[in-house]
Formats: sequence, structure tokens, C-alpha cells
Amino acid sequence: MAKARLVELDPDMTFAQAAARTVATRTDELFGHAGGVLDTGEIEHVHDMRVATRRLRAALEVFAPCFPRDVHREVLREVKALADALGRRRDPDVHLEALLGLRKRLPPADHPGVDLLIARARAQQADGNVALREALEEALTRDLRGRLGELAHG
Amino acid sequence: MKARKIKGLDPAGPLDANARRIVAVRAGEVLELAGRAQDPCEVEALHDLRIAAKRVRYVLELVGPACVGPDADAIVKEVKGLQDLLGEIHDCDVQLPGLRELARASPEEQARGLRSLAIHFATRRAELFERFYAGWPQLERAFTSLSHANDNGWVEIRA
Repeated sequence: MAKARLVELDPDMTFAQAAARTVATRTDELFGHAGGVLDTGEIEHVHDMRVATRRLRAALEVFAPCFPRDVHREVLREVKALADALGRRRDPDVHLEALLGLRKRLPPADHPGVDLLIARARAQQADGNVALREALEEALTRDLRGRLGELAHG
Repeated sequence: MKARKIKGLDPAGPLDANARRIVAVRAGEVLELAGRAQDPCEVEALHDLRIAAKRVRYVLELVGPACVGPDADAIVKEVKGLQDLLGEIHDCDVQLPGLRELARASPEEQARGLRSLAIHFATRRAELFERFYAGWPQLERAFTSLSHANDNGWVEIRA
């Protein structure tokens, strides 16, 4: 998992200054992880981007009173939608990995049942990838990054 | 579980005072939920506790070192451990009913493996709950300290 970039915060700075600095950093971080997320052979990309959306969401929620309500509500909804799409891809990734590990530990007579679940997880992974591609296109079309930048910089 | 709205936050006020107010409320939410979550059958309470703990962790990650004090990183690590534990319990709770139903509806060739998986998840769930139950008193002390973040200086957490 990618480590969060350090945001230099001072206890004496205003809540609004801390909000701007944090949201700007977390936004850069999120979109910095977008490359390679649709590659099902490299599942860590999705994980890193999902963690980055969580961090950005947390910042938007904690610092909510510092932003204009309407704009904040809209970008938060879009970040949540992106996070949901990343989750739809990530959950089957994790499930699949766990099932493959368990299959190795179970006797061959148990394999047909496990294989049934593995096939389902692969199908969910493919569906999740389609949903994620659409969510990324939506974020690009609606210039989510630009609007988050505007939110951070007032 | 919806997070409580925090009154009195001031964008023009110092980060420190605002952050402490948020930490105190979010830690209080964890403590309110924890009682019911000591019962292994309270699936929803365990799930809600995970969400509440996650909110505390995220606030601490954002503002902890600057506003809570030098123990913030250690608390974040403890809370993350709790969140992971409760997350895995939740995964078992989500998977088990569907798995049992599928095993009942499947031909014996597949049902056997599905039953083995159900046994695995049920056993794992019981182990995880025991770990949560045994570790909770120490975490409760940490959350109690955090719930007083609004009225004290830096929060001191004793392991």
C-alpha cells in the first residue's frame, strides 16, 4: 500500500488553511494513482487508488465546514462514486486471492465447490473493471480533479 | 451508521481547537457503540463499531501529530488493528449466509467444498471475535482519553 504523502500542518494555522492544504495534496495523490488501475494482473494499483480516495474522502468530510456547501456536496458525491467503483473491482480481487490460497490448503475433493466461487469472483472482477472504467471516464469528463483543485484553492 | 454532526466548528479558528472537537466526538461515538459489540451475535453493532473506529483513525491521520500529540501515530496503529479485525469479522458475517445457502442448493460434488469453506469462515470468525474481546479494554482506555481531547492538552495514551 502506498504511504500517504505528508501534509505539513501547524496547530496554529486556521482550520480553513489546513483544509486547503490537505485537500490539494490528497487530490494530487488520488490522480497520481490512476495509471494502470484497469490492469487485472496488477491488483495493487486499484488498492492504492482506493486508499487514496478514502484519504481524500476523509479530508473532505473532516474539513466540510471550510468549503462552500453546494460545491463540496457535489465533489464529495463524485469522489464517493469513484470509491464505490474502485471497491467493486477491489473486493473480488481480494476475494479471489483468498479463495486461491484456501484452495491450496483444502483436499482435492473440496476443489469443485471452491472453483465455483473462484469462477464467480472472476466474473465480478470483470464486471468491476467495466464499472471502474466508466467511473474514471466520468471523473475525467466532469473534470473532478480541476474542481477539487478549485475547491482547495478557493 | 451516520456520523454525528459536530457543532461549533470554525473555519477561521485554529486547526488545533477544531481538530480536538472532532476527535472527541468521534471517539465518543466509538465508546457508545462498543458495549453492544461485546456480544458476538451483534453483527450490526460490530459493523457500526468498525465504521466509527475508521472515522477516528482518519481524523487522527489527518490532524493527529499536529493536534493530539506525539502518541497520535501509535494510536492510529492501534485503531487500524481494530479496524482490520472488525473488517475481517464483517467479511465472515457477509459471506457465511450466502455460502451456506449455496451449499444447500448445490450438487454434492460442489456442496462438500462449500461446506468446508463455511466451516473455515465460522471458525475464523470465532477466533477473530475472541481477539477483539480480549484486546478491547486497552483500546477502550485509548478511546476514552481521545474522547477528552477537547478539554485537555495533548492526549496521553498509556499502552
